[in-house]
Amino acid sequence: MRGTDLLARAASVAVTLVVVSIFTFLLLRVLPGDPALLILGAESPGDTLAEMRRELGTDRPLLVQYGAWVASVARGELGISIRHRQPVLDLIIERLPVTLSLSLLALLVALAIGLPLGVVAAARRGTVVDYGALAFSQLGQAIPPFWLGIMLILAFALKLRWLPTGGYEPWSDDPAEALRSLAMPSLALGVVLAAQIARMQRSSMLDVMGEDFVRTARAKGLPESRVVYWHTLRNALIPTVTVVGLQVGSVLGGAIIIEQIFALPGLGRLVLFAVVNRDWPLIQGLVFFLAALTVVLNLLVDLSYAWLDPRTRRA
Amino acid sequence: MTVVAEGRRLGRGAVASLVAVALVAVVALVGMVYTPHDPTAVEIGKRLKAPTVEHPFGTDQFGRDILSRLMRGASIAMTVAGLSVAISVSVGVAIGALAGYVGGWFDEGAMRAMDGLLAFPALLLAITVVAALGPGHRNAAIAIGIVGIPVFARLTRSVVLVLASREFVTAVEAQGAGPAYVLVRHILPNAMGPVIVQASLAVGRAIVAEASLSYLGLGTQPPLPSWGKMLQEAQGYLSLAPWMAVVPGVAVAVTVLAFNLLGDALRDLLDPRLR
Amino acid sequence: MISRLIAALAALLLGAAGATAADTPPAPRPGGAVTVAALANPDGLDPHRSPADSTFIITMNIFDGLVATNARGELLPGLAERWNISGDGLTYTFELRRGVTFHDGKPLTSADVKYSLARMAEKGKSPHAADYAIIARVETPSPTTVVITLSRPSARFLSDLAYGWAAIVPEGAGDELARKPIGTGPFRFVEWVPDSHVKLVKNARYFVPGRPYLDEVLFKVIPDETARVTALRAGEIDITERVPPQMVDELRANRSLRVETYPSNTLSELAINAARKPFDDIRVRRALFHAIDRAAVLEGANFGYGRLIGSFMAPIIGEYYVDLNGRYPHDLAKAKALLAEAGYPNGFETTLYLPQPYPDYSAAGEIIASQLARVGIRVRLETLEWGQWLERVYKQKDYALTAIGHYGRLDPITLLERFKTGYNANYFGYSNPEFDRLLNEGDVTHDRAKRRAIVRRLQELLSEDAACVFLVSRDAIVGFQRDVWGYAELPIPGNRLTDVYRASR
Repeated sequence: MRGTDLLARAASVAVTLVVVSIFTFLLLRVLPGDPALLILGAESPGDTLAEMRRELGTDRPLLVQYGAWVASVARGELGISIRHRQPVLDLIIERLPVTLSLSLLALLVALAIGLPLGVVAAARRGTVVDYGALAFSQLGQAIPPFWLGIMLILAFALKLRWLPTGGYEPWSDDPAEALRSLAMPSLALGVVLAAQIARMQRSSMLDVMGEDFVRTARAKGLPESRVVYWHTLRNALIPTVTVVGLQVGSVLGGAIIIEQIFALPGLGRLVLFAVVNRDWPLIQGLVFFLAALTVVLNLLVDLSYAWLDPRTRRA
Repeated sequence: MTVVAEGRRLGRGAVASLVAVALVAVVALVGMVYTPHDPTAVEIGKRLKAPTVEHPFGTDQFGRDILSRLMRGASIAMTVAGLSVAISVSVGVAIGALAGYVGGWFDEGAMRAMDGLLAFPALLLAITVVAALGPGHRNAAIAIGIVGIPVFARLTRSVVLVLASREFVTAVEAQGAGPAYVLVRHILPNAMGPVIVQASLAVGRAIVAEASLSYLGLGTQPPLPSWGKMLQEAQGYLSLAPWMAVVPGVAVAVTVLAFNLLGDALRDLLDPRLR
Repeated sequence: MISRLIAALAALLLGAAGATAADTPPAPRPGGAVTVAALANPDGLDPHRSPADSTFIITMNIFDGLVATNARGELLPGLAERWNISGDGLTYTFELRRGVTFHDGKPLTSADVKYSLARMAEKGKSPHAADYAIIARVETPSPTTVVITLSRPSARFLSDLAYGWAAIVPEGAGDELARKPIGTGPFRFVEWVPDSHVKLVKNARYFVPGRPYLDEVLFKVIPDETARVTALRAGEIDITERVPPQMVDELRANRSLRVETYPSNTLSELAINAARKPFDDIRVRRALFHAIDRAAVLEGANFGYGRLIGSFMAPIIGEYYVDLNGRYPHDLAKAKALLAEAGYPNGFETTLYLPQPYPDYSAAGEIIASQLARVGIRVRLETLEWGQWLERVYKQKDYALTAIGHYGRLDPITLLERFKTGYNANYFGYSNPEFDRLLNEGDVTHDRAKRRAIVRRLQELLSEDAACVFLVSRDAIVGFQRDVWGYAELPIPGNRLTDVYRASR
């Protein structure tokens, strides 16, 4: 039963990836701008350009180009960047740590703020704490992360001068500096998710509190704090995990603009570089990689339900 | 007890959100035809002036009046959001309704395509579409609209699937009504509640998306004022003219908050499933 | 030791005397390291394969050319100790410096020069191939002699050997150079972590005695201008180019920093497509010139840091430059009259493209659009990403107006060639037979006085024909830590840190 489930899930992931690859490819064929011109610069005469086009393969028919690309993806390659003249995969791997650090820290920030807030709000339902949490979750979802980023720069970098306005220090150089350079970006990126988590956690806690097993626990005379924080929390986490899973894409997407504001050399800046420079093998590879990453992370979230909810394990 | 109390609270929230949305709408409408100053007129001698009576929100790096730019920016934000949500809703509902009602290979194909679209991080997809179409607020609206299609397609499909097996539908079908008639007259009207709720939330998302694209230079083009573009320009003058960065951000946050609250209020009114 | 003492004393005395003390350079001393802001991740470190400034800012420290240049644009011996040009202007004989070695220890020979010249001229690979197509033959009669034969005489050829893209690389180096450059220059390449930094260390065997002063140079990639300024303030970087003009006063108030402005060999203009209606009418182009308040553009886009130009030449070019700023005073009535005469009494609608990567040119475009509205010309602005700009403006010449700028060249004829009829880079649709004839004359003559007269006349023609609305030669604004000295701005893309030193530490 579980085996076939997993197989079906994997098959649908595969189909999604094929659809993604077709979308990516078709979308980028419409891009105006001649890559050959960009590489050689504006001063190049026509015959030089034609030679470059032959070398890049942009003079071949569309289907042939798509076939070549899919074949290279199947080999675990993502093509060669026009501007960097390096394999796209190498470029992605170089910058992945920045984006992953940022996204994971943002997730941590979101959980660290959102979970306790949701739990406390549910436990103290109707009190000032609850209203405060509600206000936070509404505001957090309304404030654009990049504006929050700019305001953080204004406050902590320009006025107070506690943190750098931007730039990135690798973890390997100096972990403390790395953390300092990622503090504001991950806060700016994490607050939206924190707001969503707080809200979801609160409402699912309230739902679970009404269920039989919680009532049983209460009837058995377990202390209220234990009921709330143990019995309820674990079960109420499921919808929250779903929210986190659904937001994987928006965190990665948000990282693009946050990296731009804080000058972090991650995948987001690479995306913008590729778009501005019409580096289509790079855009194609990046878009496909990020979409695939989202799909795979979603799959992992699905699988984590089984661990969180014993009922689905039995089913 | 609590139920009553909560009911009253939501009522107040709904009224407040309606007032806020109306306010934004009025500013946007007025901004189309009237602003205190020309929002695009450059006057170098008056640049980077802190707020005064004449310029309540100060001036920008070209001496343009920020209040006027904010008002015209509201019109643009609402136009882009409206257009993009219209695209998402019309295409999404059509796909979802057909998929749910026709079923079979069409359903399968359409839903796989929607899965594909959903797999892209939203902003990344919007950036790629704008890169393909070229920057500008119309293309930004199209890009944001495309990104929003799967939400409405999936939502409509699920509602249609539930309704199609309901008694009143089978009864109408038994009377010999054609599928198109049944779908348009009997099923879709019942799906409108959840769609309207989602549309209100989608307006909020579209406003943030437009601001993001414009911040990145891919959305609204100068000299037209977009809130995102204003924020991007402000970043170069943060220590010299912080008001340039504060004002447009507050405008985005207030507008999005209003539409989110409206969406929540509508959900309580229209979408019984989530009560 | 004593010199340092004197410098310290001098600083002390001058410090007591007045505020200018900080601007008096102390005596140079060797040692120390500087961190320089790189505005973009370099586009590869192979000087023969990149069109981008981001490459030359680094590679000019690693490589030398046969010919070198200085802040005044003079041509000086580089790897070639001396040269001789034949009477017919076709044969150039270069004598190489003896005892020069590459960073990998191999001695420099004429074979390396021959290889490098071939690589610069490689079609389809070298962005500057067209400049070297004139080379007919390269011979190497001895390990230290290189003889270049041209297919026709050209007075500009020597200057073409002084740019960053005319670097001499070791024979057989190949495409490895992009990641691992090996040259003869003042600094040796250590590592490049893309999007982070490029590290160079002193070449102890550099052929100029006592240079470079610095032991180490780190180029740190910081594309965001706000982040660059903050990094300078925080002491994380020691030198940054392109300080945003609005930040100058604020930075100058900071006692640990110094901000210098240098006239630069750059030009910005409102490019007009004269091949397209209504701009084919000279009266319309002249009306644009009169309608635009160029002083406001200089103030608004550059905060006043720069000079107005009346034709396509920067004042820094010196003897060749002629000031034509008075030709078209800002005069709305005159502009309207010219428009009416041309049949547009109520103005017209048009489109102006803004190049996305250049905020100062885009700002100029926005200001101009607002100014043109006052004479009834309704301008639609459209921002183009760099790729699209190149495609539409440069390649297809499919545009009406665009605000843009260019790096100048060492040779005035090379610079003005852009306006030659049918020339590849002439995207202005400009064509004037007299201009073409004079340009060809100036290209072949080695007679300096005659050349000067021709170049001046060429500038006048461009101004009379209103080929563009010429705008500004901006100042290069560079920020330093207070103890960093010896920096100079070269009139070509890229820069060298050979003479830079730290006064303290």
